[in-house]
Amino acid sequence: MSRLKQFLRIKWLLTLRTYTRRKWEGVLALATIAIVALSALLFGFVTLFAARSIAEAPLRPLLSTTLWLATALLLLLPTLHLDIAGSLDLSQMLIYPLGARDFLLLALVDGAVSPSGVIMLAVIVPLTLAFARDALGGLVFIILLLLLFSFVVSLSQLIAVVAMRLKASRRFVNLFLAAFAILVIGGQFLAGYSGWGRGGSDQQVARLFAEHIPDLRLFWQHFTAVMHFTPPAAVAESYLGWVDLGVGHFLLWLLILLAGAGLTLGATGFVYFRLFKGELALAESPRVRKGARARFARKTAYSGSLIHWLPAGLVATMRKEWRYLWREPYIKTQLIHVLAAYAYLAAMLIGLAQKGGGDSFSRGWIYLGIVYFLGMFTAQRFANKFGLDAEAIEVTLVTPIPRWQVLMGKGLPYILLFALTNGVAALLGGVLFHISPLFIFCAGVLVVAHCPLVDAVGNLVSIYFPVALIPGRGRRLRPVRQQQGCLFLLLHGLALNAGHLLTLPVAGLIALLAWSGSWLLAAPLVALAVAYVYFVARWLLRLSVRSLAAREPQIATFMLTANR
Amino acid sequence: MENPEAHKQAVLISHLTKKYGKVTAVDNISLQVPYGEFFGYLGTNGAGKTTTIKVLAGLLPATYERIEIDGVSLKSEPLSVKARIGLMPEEPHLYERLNGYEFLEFVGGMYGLDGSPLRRRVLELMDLMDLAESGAKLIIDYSKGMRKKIALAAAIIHQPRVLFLDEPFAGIDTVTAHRLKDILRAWVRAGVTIFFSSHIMEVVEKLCTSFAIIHQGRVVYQDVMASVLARQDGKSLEDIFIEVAGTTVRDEPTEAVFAD
Repeated sequence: MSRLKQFLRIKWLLTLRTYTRRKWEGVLALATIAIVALSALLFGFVTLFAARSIAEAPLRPLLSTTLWLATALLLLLPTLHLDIAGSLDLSQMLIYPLGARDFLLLALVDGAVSPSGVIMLAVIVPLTLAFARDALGGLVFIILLLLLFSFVVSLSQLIAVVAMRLKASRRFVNLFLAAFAILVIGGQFLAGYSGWGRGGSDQQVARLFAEHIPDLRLFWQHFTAVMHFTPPAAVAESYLGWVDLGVGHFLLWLLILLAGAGLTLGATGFVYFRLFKGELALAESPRVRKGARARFARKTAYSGSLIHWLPAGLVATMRKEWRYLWREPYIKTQLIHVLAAYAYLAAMLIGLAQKGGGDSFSRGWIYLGIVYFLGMFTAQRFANKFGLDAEAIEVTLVTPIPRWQVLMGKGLPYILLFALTNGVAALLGGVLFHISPLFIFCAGVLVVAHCPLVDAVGNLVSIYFPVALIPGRGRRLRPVRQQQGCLFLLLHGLALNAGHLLTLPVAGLIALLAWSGSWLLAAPLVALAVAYVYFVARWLLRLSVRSLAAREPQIATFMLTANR
Repeated sequence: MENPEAHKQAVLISHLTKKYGKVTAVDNISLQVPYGEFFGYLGTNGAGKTTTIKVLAGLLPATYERIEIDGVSLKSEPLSVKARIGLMPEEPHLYERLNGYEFLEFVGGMYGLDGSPLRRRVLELMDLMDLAESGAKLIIDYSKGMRKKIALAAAIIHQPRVLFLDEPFAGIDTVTAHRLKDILRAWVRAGVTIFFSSHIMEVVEKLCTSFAIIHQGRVVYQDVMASVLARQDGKSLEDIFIEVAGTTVRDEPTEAVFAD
């Protein structure tokens, strides 16, 4: 008993402190809980009003829908609050002399003593008032609701553990990102297509849905048929059976409810028992690949390849950045946004082509504008070169590598990546939509010119406006800026966009070439553009190296202390 | 003919002060560590050891009259200083999404090593640290001890002239610690200077040839280890440390804690 008392006390304190650590977080959390609880209360009273005042009120669907919504709310809360270490990580309780049953009991109490419990109360009171015909009926109803609550608590604890486990899995994160990418890219494509398509409205999208998505009503019928046998619906059936249809009906649905609650409790018990026995770890266990040493020793040296001729520090930094590109979910997420931009612009081009409006010359200008926008979408990736390193920047800054190699090494992989992807996108777009070869050539020059300039400005932005990306809850990265406030954000935004301004002279030269329509001017104008990019990027790199030398200790201090 | 190296110190600090806002972490300290010393830098938690080391490694800005490492001024040639030193921080912050081999390859590259010599060095260090077979795991999956080992390997990959070790043995298993101590001693014999911070007196007593005690940001005691070991009054390094660091030690019997 004293164990349970201590547990409740610490649970209460930790939950409270999670919400009161930062003032605005506490206010936000309280407001969220209050809104959800008040909505539940309001919903309960609306049900009460409907059940009492409408003579022919459809009580069965009314009650089961109310209970389903309450259940969904309660199940949603633990998934929104997955930071169990912030409130109480039950796996930490394993060091104490607890039995398996005690551990499971604590898990259930942990689920019950939470904001979910408050919300359940907010639902129970008006529902009981609405449906209890007499004292005995009220008692039966409350017992049924408590059974439902036990089902919800055990299911929510099961969801919390499974979600924690999934979040720790790198394979799941990759799958999630892939699904996210499909959704975002698909969404952007549809948005671009509906905005720029033939009809210029959402009608085409609606038609697309109507043609390809099966009848939703049929799906809904199947869905409700299955939902009819779930615990919340079973509570409604069972209670109304008690009131109207006799004991047999009541017992049948009570059995279904008990079976549902029992199965969930069993599954939760199984998962927590495995956790208790140490057979289920909340963190992913790393794959150990045998023969790592032999594989590394067998790797061929760089000699003979082009990369051999580059300075060692530059190669080391580029390799590290390249590996991070594939391994760091944060970068993948950023790249998904770039892909979404491609999707949107591709849809725009398809829409424009289908519209058939304008001659090939004016389509060419729109095409060049789109390619210019492609370059703008990539700027963000260059503007915070030390952020992802965060505290690990110490490893780089303690070495004597010339700083131009650090800056270039961090930028080059992305310059190559974006020059390639933007270039391929521009080429494909141009060929597919019958853009004249001169315009496609101009687009290619624009793509190649844009990246180094944005990167060069990105170096300065990274040095003067560092934003540390610190692992927060569940290793999700949270940005910490060197200075807070609107001025920092304003200057940061302005500096970030300076790179695009610097590309304007190149854009001017390209526009001149496109406007002239003459291949004869291509060589001199492109030579001018290349010279401009080379000198401006070189000058900015030198400036960045000097700035980094002056600000290096400040950047290191900021990165090393940003997590405090 | 006089050797110009003879007057140089491996580490020379003159009037170093470091403040965090209003708090003075290091208060006007001056130190000299000759070449080939295994120098112990001792202090209680929060005394200023880590801050001093970070300043010497060029990672923290501070005010000072003169800091020279291996005869090179930190103020005027910071990169040249960095090429001469190795640093193993107390809490190593590493690139966690690289595996062990990739990480050492990266650090080696940052010191200008490449090709076969770099690979040989990486293999050598991974073997030395007993990490060879777990080298394919990402660092994010390493244990605390493994992280310490890989950080130490990274600190010595370029064979520095001066090595800064901040609490290097905390979290490392006994076998590896024993091996490391032998390696460090051999390095010191070969002329490498080690600047070693710790609060484990037994380790300092066994390894260091000289030491300084820092307390509340000031160097309050400095001596060579031989003179401590030869003391007639029977005072150990721990006794001296407690005496000069001004730590209050409770005299009450601790048995009461375990009484029922």
